[in-house]
Amino acid sequence: MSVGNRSVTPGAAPPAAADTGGSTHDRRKFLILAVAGVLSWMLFAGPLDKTSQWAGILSLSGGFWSAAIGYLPRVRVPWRKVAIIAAVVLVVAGGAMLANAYFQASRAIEMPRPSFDGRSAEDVWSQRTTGVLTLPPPYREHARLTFVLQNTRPQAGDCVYPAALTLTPVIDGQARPDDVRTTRSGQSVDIPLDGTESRAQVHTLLSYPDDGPVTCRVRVMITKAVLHG
Amino acid sequence: MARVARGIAAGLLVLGLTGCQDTPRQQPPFERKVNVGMAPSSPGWSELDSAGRRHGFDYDVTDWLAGELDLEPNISNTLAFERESKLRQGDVQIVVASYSITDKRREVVGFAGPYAQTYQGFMIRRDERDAYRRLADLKGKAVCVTRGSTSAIQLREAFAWPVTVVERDTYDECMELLLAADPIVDVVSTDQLLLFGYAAKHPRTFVPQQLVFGEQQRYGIGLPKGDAAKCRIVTDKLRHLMSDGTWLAFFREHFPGYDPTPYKPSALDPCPDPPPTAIG
Repeated sequence: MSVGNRSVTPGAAPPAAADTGGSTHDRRKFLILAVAGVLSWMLFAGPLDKTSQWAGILSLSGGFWSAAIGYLPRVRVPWRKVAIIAAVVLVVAGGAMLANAYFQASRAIEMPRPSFDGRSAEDVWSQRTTGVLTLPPPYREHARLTFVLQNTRPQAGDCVYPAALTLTPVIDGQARPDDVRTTRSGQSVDIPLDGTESRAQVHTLLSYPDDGPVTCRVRVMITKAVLHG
Repeated sequence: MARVARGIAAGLLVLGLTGCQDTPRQQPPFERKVNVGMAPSSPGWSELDSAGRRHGFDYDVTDWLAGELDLEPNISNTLAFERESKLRQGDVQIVVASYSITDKRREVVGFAGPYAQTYQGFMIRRDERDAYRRLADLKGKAVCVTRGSTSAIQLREAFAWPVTVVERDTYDECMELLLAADPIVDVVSTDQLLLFGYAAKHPRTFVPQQLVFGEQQRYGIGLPKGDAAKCRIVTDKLRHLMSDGTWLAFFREHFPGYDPTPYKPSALDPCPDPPPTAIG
């Protein structure tokens, strides 16, 4: 077969001049290494759990295509065009992933059925009863909690309004006395959780004034728990 | 150009004048004349004497409050079962009637207070006072309470030993049974503070101050539900009443001989937040 003044044998390797040579291989290696590096960083980058999942998917697919390209017979590939398309795809996908990661990392998360550890909503609390609320990851800067008290004998006592709930955040096993908050039935309160790495809990204490209705018996329910910030 | 400037100036002037109109005057929480619901006959708290003058701790609180708020109170006799309905219907604007704050009542009315607090107590015949030193001394006794009251419920639940509960419609009937020549009850039971009033009226009776049981009763001033402005202004005045010696003077006048400390609340409840106002 003759093309112009050059003769080409079908099935034979392309002429050496058409190959971009060692520099193209280096660029490809560099690109693969760079993508692998970014993906690895995303895979292990802490709290952005959704990002890590995306990184896993991309790593798998990237690995598959890299291997596939390695086994393909050498053909003429318009690397410049491929590189531009790949770059555009990567930028768009990366942007979307980052936006998604930011949204996932910052959105408020509502606990579906918040309750005190080892207690049921029917448990009766009295003066100085305590309970522990363990908050699930992913952690945020704050937890907004709303408690509702229910008097077990509403016709006899004035138990809901005078009751105070003292909330102490215990972050990674360390109580934070500076961040103690007091709330009442029906009110919302923000508890700081900043810096939580492995465990966030809220210790809750029910109390009445010493000369108040200390014989009261109430049920304490967490009607809303939202991680936010 | 000058015409345009004059037009702009005129427009600004109109806008400025519109902005100068009076802001709406804030309504005072109470009209000058208010209907106050009070118990018609509760010794030591609210009771008419033979000359038709009202006396008692609650009356003194009402009178003091009226003076502080510049009100003209019109006292309306209000029985215990009428308190919520009269407040809800607007027949009275305030209830001062040794009115126990309960979570059930909070569902329908508002409260400022508490301005007094007490547990359930017992009244006995004075000549038997040495026979009642501890709660266990009530074992097997006949105790009179008003029909359907929380005292009856609490009495049945409070003790491991049996007491015979005798129910009557009024405490005056219970007093008659206690002081009869051939008495069929040994004890009368209700809020200890109410018993102090009866004991002052009936010298043959005695209230052992150390014998208490049941849930704490906290007396509040009944107000229409959700009226945060009224609650705040009454609470603010009560704070003065409790701290400037007036409360103590009222207590000593009506319940002489009793230690006031357990009956004076150390703090007042906060008023509910006002509902958010609409914008625009």
